[in-house]
Amino acid sequence: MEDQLTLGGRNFSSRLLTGTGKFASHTLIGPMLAASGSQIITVALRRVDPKAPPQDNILSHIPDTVTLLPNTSGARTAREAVRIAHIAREAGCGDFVKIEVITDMQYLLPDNHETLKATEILAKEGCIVLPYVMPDITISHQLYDAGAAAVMPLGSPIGSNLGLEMKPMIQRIIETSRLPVIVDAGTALWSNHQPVCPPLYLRLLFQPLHLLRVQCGYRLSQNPADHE
Amino acid sequence: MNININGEAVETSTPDILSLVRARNLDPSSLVVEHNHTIIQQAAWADTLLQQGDTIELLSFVGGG
Repeated sequence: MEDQLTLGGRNFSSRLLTGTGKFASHTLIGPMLAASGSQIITVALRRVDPKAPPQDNILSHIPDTVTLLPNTSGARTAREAVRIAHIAREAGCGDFVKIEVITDMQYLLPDNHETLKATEILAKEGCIVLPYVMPDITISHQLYDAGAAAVMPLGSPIGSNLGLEMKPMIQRIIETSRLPVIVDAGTALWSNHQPVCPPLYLRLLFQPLHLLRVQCGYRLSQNPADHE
Repeated sequence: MNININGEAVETSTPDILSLVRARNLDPSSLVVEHNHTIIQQAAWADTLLQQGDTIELLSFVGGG
C-alpha cells in the first residue's frame, strides 16, 4: 500500500520536505526535487536589494506539481508573520505557509507564543499552517486546537548541524500530538566531513517518522541530486 | 515627489509603479510590489500612480528553509 500523507486536505506520497537556501545555483533545485521525490519545498520572501546582482526567479525552477511552502522568516511578531503570509498568498504561492517567528537572534530560536497567535489568525482565514516551534508538547496541543495542519519542532538550532539535540522532546510530541510532526532544522549530521543522509538517519531514530524537512544535507553538496 | 521604498526615503519623478520598476532595472517576473500595504498585481502596475508620501515595498522570493 502506498504511504500517503494528508496535509491540509492534500495528499502527498513523500514525507520529505526540502528547502531552497544556499544552493550554488537555482538550476540545481529541479534535479534535487526529481532525485529526492520531495513534493513540498520552502521559499522565503525578502526585500529587493537594488545593489545586489540580479537573480533569476527562484519560483521558475520549481515545478507546478510541487507545493510551495513560503516561510515567514524575518518576522519577529505574530503580526509580521501574518503580513508576510498574506503577501505570499496574494503573490500566488497558494495556501500553505510555514510560520517562523524568531526573536532570539543568537541561536534563531522560535517564539512559540507569537507563533501560536499567528497560527490562530491564519488558520481561521483558511491557510494551511505549518508552524516552526521549540519542541514542547503543550504547544503542539495548542497548535492543534488553533487549526495548524502540522507541527514543526526543531531538531537543533538552525544551521547548527548538531543533529537531534531535542530528540526526547520530539519523541514525546510524536507520541502525544494529533498533528503530523515535521522535524525541522539542525538535522544534518556530519561524518568524515560529509553530511550523513538525514532521512536515513532519522528513520533510524524515530519509529514512526512522520515527516522531515531538510536543507543542509542537500544544499551542502555541489550537486544535491547526488544525495539520493 | 518623495516616497518611501523598502523603508528608505526616496525622491522620484516616476509617475507609476511600472515606470519605477523599469527605472530601477528590476526583473518584473520575480517581483512582488506592495503599494501602501496592498499587493499590486503586475497587470495593474502601469495604472497605479505614485503620489507624495506613498509607501512601496519591492519584494522577491528567495531561497530559504
